[in-house]
Amino acid sequence: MISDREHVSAVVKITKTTGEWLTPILKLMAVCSAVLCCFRPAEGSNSRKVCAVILLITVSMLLLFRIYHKRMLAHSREYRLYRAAFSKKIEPGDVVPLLVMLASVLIPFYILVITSLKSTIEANDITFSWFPKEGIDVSSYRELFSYGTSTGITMGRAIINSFVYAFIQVFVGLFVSVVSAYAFAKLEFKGKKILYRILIMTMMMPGCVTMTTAYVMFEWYGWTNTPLPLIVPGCLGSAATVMFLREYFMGIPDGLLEAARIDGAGKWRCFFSIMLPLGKPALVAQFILGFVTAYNDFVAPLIYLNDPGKYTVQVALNFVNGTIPDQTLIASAGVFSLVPMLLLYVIFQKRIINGIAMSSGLKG
Amino acid sequence: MQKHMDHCRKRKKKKNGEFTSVLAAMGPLIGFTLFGLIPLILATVVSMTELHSTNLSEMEFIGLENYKTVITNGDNRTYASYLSTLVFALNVPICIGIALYIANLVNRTKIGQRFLRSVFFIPYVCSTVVIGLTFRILFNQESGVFNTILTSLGFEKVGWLTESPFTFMTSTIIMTVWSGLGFCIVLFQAALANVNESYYEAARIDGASNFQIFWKITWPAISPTTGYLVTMKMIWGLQAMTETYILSGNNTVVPTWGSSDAWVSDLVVKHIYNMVFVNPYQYGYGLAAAAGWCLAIVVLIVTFLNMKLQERWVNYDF
Repeated sequence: MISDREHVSAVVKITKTTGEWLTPILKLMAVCSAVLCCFRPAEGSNSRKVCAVILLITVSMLLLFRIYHKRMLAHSREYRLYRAAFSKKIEPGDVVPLLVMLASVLIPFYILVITSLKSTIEANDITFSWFPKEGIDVSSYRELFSYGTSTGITMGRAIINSFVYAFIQVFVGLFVSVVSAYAFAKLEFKGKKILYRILIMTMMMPGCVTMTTAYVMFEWYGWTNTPLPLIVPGCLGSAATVMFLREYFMGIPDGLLEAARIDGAGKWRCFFSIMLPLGKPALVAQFILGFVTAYNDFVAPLIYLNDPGKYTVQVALNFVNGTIPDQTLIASAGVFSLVPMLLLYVIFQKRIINGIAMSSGLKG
Repeated sequence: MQKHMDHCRKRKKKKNGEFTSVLAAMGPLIGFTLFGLIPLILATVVSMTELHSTNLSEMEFIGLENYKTVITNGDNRTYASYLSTLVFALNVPICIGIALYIANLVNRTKIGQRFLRSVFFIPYVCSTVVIGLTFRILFNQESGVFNTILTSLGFEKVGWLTESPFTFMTSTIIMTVWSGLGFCIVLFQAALANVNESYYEAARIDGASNFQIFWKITWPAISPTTGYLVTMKMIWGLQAMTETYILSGNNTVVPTWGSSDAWVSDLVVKHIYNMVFVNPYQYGYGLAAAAGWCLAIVVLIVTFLNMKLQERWVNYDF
């Protein structure tokens, strides 16, 4: 004879496992059919009705589950303990949404890559295929480089441009910012607090106001249609970076600097031999994040550069996107521009993610 | 003698030192003065004049006329651009909601946490331009993957980017949410990892449901992050232009708002850009500067409201 207690645990186990696996799938089906109901059905097709029926069934099943759980189990002490002790590595209910999310992040990239590998005819055909049926065709990549001869845009040239502009700007800018952050964090001078407050205020400057008149100003300097408006402002550092690095430097104990000073080191010696090595993680994170931002910048190069030979990757891509109807070529240009950033991401993944979490002032 | 010399050197060094310290600290401020303050002052001056080229000697003073044109929709496009921007800004709550849900799931999962996080973060390092052209391929009316799925399930094809303002904005929001999720997930995860585990254990032993655990513990504990994200993303969202610009393929075929000729893809900043770099003879720098100031004030008001509202729901002492 089954005792009362054992009976409950069997029920608990069965409902737990079925519920856990079924609910997320039902939820997914409900959401999908609800979304699909919003679309127009094709002529003579009753797909909308089918979706509505599926939606109804799934929602009612979900409700039934919920009621059943409440009635049967919520008051059972054993069920509560079962739940409390329940710490699997991954809960089955979480698998479905995570997989959906993974797929939705990766599928656009997959489609971009296969489109670039399809032959021109297949890619521009009205039927979509999940795999290049006519074999892998890399001629679009070859075309990408020859395309430059007629219009002056070469993706290779554009990538080199982007790298050069971004590197100079971020490297020099970071140096200026780090020196400034050191001065604000560890040196004493008159008016430090006021200067710092002004610096923080500059971050509130509205970019939409200065976008047009900055162009007038650079025209006046004679800098338009050169990369200088992209590089020089960045070279003078940024308030956000200073703020972040200052916070970081404040965390380094003064005692270290005192000791160095007693040993006869000047303040710049202290900076180069103590602060820079200690601040290395923060600096690397800032450098990579700044580099990614500068490489991906679109509006400023679009405004200032008119000469195809000076284009950055993003502007060249925009040009390809707007003028060529061939999808393979667009896709392969996209893949080509993406590769350096993805490589950078794969190599420095941990630093990038930690840098993001740190620079928002929420961690570390 | 030695002592005296030391003393002298020290004094000299200190004075000299202070100067270099100030100079070192000033770097970003010099940059701001040269490349931020000058355009800002210039914008204020130019906004009260009529100017159609970069030649400042052609300025004609017309007072607050430009501001009047912007506020009363004198160019027939300003209100439409604000409408586009408002609809576009819907991506902020959607993105934050989904990111919170996913971050919660990732945080609960004990295996492959770092793998999941790194995959979700990939779109952050991709430029908006690449993402835009990828989604143009996905949303293609004939061969796009969305329409392929729809037709295979017996639905009609949708002209995502060409049919109506609604479909265009939906596509834009889908794209923007997709590209913004990674950033939000990483921040939420950092916040979630800092919540004390013992709260959860206590709640679970008391038999709290997952929803109760989320609403009573997780939500207040991570509200500073949520508040930060809402503020920052609103500021970015109101000043965005790349997303719709790329998705519309340089405004080739774009639906318009109602019967007007204002394109859906013209967000406010794109409209300002058009005023100067596309149709300088129709609009000009003066109007653009005035429109820029109006947008800046709107951004300021939104940010201020955000801050005020956040005093109510953001909890800093968890």
